Amino acid sequence: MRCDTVIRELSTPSGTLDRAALALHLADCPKCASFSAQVHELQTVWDLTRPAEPSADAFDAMWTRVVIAAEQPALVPFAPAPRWKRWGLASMVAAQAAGLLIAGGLAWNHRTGGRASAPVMEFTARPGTTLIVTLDGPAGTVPTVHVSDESVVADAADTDMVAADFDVLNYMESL
Amino acid sequence: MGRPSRRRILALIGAGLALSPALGLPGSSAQAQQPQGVPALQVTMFGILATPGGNRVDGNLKKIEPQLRKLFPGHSFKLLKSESKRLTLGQGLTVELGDGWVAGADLTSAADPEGNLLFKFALELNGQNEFATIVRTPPNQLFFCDKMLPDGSRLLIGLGGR
Repeated sequence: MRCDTVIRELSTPSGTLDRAALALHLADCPKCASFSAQVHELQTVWDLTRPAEPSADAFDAMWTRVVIAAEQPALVPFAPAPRWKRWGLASMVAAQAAGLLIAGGLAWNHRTGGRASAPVMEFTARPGTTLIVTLDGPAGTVPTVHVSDESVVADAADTDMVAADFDVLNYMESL
Repeated sequence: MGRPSRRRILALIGAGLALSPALGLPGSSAQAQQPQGVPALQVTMFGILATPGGNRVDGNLKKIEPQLRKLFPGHSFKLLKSESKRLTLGQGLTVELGDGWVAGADLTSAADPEGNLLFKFALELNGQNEFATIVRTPPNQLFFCDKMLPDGSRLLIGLGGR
């Protein structure tokens, strides 16, 4: 008898081998004898710790559910919740969906620059100054606004004492 | 890219400022307080591209180079477009500045209690509203909208009237 045949029979007993020939091989082969001892120890441990076998009916019922689930892989089998719990779950799902929509809307609004809600402001220039409203940020975004209205008042260096923006306005009007 | 029509940008201004009464802004109420028989005003709006660094100036802007340098020091300047029209109340002016930028202004009031002109101003890029505001400025005095562009240059839009 060959060692591999003995080891296969010890691992997954088929009961087809001649028990006397198997015992003779184990008595003459230390390697297979050692393997047989390990299998025996493992079987002992398994016998001491194995769970109770389900009844044949329980096994059949479980196997039926497994088959149904396998035939509908997109569905996760679950026990229906009580009515109040279903409504609660539905409300929670709706609330989460609404939250996602709001968050998505805000994110989209931010990504597209919130163009639909471009800021509306009011600025008033002080007499003798030029109002400059600076819009920072890339195109398509709601800008950060900086206001300057104090840097261009006519000063003594201007021979005609005319503010710079007045000259610019005159010139642009003439074009 | 379609060219935004004047009607479109004026509609944007109107839409953007439609809520101004509800927000307590004076945009719509000021018009109702206008005295009758207010003459038309000459309104001028223009766009200049200001690039940081250098001292180059568009030939069209040579005559006002010192003034521009005072207003926006350290830039090179290029005139994009300039428009000047005589407007009565409620009329508007639109300037197409290129690359999809369009500026529009409505003359809303010729004189508020302080003597200021009142404009509704809007800036649009590729048909989308970038900025809308109400501006009060004395006659003969410019309002500038300074929009920073992605390449670091600045789109300067000047608006004034008298």
